[in-house]
Amino acid sequence: MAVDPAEPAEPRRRRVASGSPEASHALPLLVRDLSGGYGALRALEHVDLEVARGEIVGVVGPSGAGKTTLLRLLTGQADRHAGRVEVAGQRIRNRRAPRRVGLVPQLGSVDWDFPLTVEQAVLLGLSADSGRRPWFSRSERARARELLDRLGLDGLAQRPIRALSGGQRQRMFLARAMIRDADVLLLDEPTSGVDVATRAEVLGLVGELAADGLAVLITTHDLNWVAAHLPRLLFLNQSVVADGPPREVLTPEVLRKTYEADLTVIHEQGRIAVVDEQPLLGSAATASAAAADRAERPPWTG
Amino acid sequence: MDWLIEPLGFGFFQRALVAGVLVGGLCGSLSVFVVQRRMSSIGHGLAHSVLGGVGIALALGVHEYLGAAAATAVAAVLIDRVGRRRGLHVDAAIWIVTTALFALGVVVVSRVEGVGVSTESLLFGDVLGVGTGDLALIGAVSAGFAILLLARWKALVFTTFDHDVAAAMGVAAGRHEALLNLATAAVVVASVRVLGVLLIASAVVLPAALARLLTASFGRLLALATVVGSAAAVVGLYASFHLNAPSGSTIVLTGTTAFAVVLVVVAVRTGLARRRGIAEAHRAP
Repeated sequence: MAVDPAEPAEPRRRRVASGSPEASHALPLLVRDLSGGYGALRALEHVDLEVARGEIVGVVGPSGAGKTTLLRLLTGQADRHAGRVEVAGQRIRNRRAPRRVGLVPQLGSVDWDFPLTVEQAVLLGLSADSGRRPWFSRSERARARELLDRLGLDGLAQRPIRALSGGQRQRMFLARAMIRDADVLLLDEPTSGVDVATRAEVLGLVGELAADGLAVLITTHDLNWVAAHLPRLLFLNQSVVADGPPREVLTPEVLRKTYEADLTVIHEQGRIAVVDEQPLLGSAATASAAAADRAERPPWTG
Repeated sequence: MDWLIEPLGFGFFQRALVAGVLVGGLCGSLSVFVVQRRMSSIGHGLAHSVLGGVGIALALGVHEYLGAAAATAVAAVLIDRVGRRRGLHVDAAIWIVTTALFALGVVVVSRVEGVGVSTESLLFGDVLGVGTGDLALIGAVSAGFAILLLARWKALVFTTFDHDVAAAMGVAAGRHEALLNLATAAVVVASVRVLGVLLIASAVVLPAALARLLTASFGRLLALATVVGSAAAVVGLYASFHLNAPSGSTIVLTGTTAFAVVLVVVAVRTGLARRRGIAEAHRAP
């Protein structure tokens, strides 16, 4: 699973029209030796990544590690300095938003008082492709309704977006991300500021979408959540530190390189968790008691 | 009914009424984007900067609208440049740049003799001064903004709602944001004669603020804010005529009064509905 950064660049692929049989067999997301950032400032270097259909990858790392920059590079919102990005076999130009990538933003970054209904918010996902007329067509609205039904939001289409719960808001944004027939879903910190039930709800839903053939990339600070639930982790700290199943990559060495801190990895009853054993209150006794308590009650239990 | 019909007998009032309805509707429709983008300060700032441009235009003997347009463009660029400096927020940049242009305008207008323009009319609007050229400019800006809204509605709404996600999903969000900024500058310039430099800011905020109390749909918000803007202009112009007060002031006061009334009515209705809900909850077995 781990990608060798020393792998030579592949020859330039022939462009493949999305929707063609060849496109349907192409990897949903292929990233080769990607470096980039903002203007001349380089925030991420030499990233190699392949995500297959049905695969969910958790992207973890400290603040400033380049998680958001990676998403921004994949959606054409940051400057690519080098490397290549392909979505469903189609090479993506620098600073261009790929047609078949859907983005689910952090819930905290959204103005929930904005005067939109749930259906209108989902339909906005079609803005770039819809015609010049100021309204959405009947078929576009039918597509939005279909997605809302599929994601369990039937009956809420005409509600204002501020009336939705945290889980329903995530579902609404998933519907918006998917309305352009996305091959790749990018979720930016979906666990940030939501309760345990909502996290479980989002993960269940993402799992269903991946099972339908989507490739999913999830950035998060919640290391234990992704370690417990996702089959593959990508550790970032300006570049890829490790990439693979949690059991292989969740090691003290990888954590030290990623977080520049000594963290302990606990394997218990077939599960894996990370604990911070640094003294919290200046007392070694307090720290070890807290660590023992955490070890007895692993974070995935909520 | 005389108070309603009498003013219509004057040509200047007819022109003012047409200009007021157009400017009110224009500012009302723009206000939806200004308020939802939380850009109220930019409207205020650009309006202030207009005075500097008008002053310099008068001193140089060129058309005042040319100066106003140049000043808003210079202000927009300077705000962008100053706002990018580390440690400075954009609101500080807006006030530094636009009050400087405003002050420059006050000095130049007061020093230039025989320009035929009073500082008061520039600051508070001059209903008597609306001429055919003003109407043509207001009409052209209104038509341009209407075309922009019709042709780019979905992209404008998405960019206003969530700039980053809109850009990530293929919308040219930066370009649409620039179009909205350009539209704001054009509306400010076109509205100066009717509303005055100091009062435009209110006209590009109040209608959307009022409409937002009554609807949760962006489309209805636009329609309602446009109607509110035009209606406030009509009522305000009649008040201006009968009270012999500056038109900008009476238009803004009309809008503010309507906002206060709607705010109270909505608060009372919400309070009554809450009480009814509590009473029904108590009655339930």
